[in-house]
Amino acid sequence: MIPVRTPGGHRRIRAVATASLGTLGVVLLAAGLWPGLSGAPQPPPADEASHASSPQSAPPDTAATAALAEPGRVEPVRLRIPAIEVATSRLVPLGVREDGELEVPRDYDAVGWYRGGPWPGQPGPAVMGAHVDSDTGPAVFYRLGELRPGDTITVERAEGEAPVFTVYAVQRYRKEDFATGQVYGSTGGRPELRLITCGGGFDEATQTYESNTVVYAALSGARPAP
Amino acid sequence: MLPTGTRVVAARPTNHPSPGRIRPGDLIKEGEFVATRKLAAVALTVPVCVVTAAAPAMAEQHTETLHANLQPLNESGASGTANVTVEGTHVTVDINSNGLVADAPHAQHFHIGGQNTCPTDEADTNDNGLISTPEGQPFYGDIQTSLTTEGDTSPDSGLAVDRMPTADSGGNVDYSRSFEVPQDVADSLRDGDAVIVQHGIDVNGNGEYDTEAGQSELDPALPAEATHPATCGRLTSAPDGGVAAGGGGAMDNGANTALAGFGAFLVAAAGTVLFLGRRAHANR
Repeated sequence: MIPVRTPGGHRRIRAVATASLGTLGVVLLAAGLWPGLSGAPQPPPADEASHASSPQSAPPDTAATAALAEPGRVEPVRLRIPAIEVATSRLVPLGVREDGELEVPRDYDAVGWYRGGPWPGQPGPAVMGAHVDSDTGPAVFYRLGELRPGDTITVERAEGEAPVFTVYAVQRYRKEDFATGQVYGSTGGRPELRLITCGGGFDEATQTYESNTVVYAALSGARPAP
Repeated sequence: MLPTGTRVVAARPTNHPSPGRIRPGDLIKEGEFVATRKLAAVALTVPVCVVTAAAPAMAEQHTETLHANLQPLNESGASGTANVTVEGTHVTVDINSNGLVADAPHAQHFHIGGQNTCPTDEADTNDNGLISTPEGQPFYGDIQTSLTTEGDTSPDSGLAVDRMPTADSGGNVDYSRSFEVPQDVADSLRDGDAVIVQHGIDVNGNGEYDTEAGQSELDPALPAEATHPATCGRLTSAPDGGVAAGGGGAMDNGANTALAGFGAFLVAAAGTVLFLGRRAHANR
C-alpha cells in the first residue's frame, strides 16, 4: 500500500492494519478454541449418565458362573484390551490420596490398580485407573470411551490363570455425580473390573476434566497360565 | 472460549509476556480490553493433571464403602474379599472367601480395638506355632459385631456356630447380610478401625475340626481348630469420587493452546494499536 500524505491517511493505514491484525487474531483464537476447527482428536465419547445411576445394562449371564480356579490375591502384571489396542505391562499399585480420591499413576503410560480393594480376579470390583491424556497428547486410556459391551479385557497376573472380563456398560459421570457406590460397592461376590479415566470437556479454568469415564466389566472366563 | 463472568480458579506458570496479570479470583469482565489480555494469559497456561475440587461432593450422610482383603492366618491357605457399606448405623456386609475348611462352620466378626490390624507372627506368645483368637486380640481387639447368618449380631453371638456361615464343599463362604449396628461400631467402621476375622482351620488336614490341636480357649466345648483365626483383613475406605486422570493435552484447548494464544495475542495487539492510535489522535 502506498502511503498517502494526509493526516487521515496514516489513520487509514493504521485502521486497515489494525483490522487485519485483529481479524487474523480472532480467526486463530477461534481455530484454537473451537473443537471443529482445530483438527485435534478428542477422546471418544461415552454415554453420559444424567445423574449417579446404576449402569444401564447388567453383567452378562456368563458372569454368574465364571470363576477362577485360583481366585486368591495375585498381583496383576499385564493388561490387554484388544478393542482399543492397549497392551501394557506398566502396572502400578494405587492408594488413596488424603482428599479421599483414588491416586493416579505418575506416569502417563502406566495403568494403576487400586490395591485397597479386590485385586483383578478376586470377588468384588477391582478398579484400575489411568490417564486419558498428558499435557501434550493422548495417554494410555485415551480410547477407553470407545469400549462397548462385549469387548474383552484380560488381566495377566504374576502367577496362575489370567482372568478375562467382558464389558457390560460404559458410563460417563460428571465428577460431582460420580457413582462411588456403583464403582466400588458390592458386586454380589462376582469378580468384576472397573476401568476409570477422565472424560468430557476439559475445564481450562481448573485445568481438569469435567467427567470420569467408567468401564464396567464382569469376569467371563480365564486364559491358562503362561 | 471462556464465557464472561468466568472466575479464574487457578493461574499457572506461562510464557506469556505479562504472566503476572492473572490471579486466582480474577473475574473476566465483558467488553474490557484488559479481559482480552487475561484471556490470552489463560489460553497460554500449560495444562497439567491437577487435584480436582469436586472430590468431597457427597453430603455428610453419604454411604461409606469399605474394602478388606482377607489374608490367611495360621497358614490356612484361605483368602477372600469383603465389601462393607455403612449408611448411618445400617451396614451391608459381603464376604467372599475360598480355601476354608469345607462343609464346616466359620465364625466371623468385626473386631475393633487393639492396633486395629491383623496379627503378625509375634502374636504367637505361647510359641506353639499357632495364633489363637485371644493371642490376636492385642492386634485386632475384641469382637464388636458377630457376622451371623440370622438373628443377633452382638458380641454375645460370637461363638454361635450354628448361626455362622458354613463353607461349601469347595471351601467357599459367600456371605451377604444387612443389619443395624450400634453407633460406636458404625463410627469405627467409617474411621477404618475395624478388622474382619474369619475363624476355623484344619491344622492336621483331616478335613474336620478336631481336638488334636487342643481345646478352644474361648469355649472348652469347642476344638481349638474351630476358633483359631483363618483369615483376617482390615476394612479401609474405598476412594471417594472419581479421578483426575487427564492433562488436557489431547483436547482442543490443550493441543492448540499455542494457536489460540497467538490469536489472542494478535487480538490484544490490535486492540493496543487501536487504543494508542485513538489516544494519539485525541492528543492532537
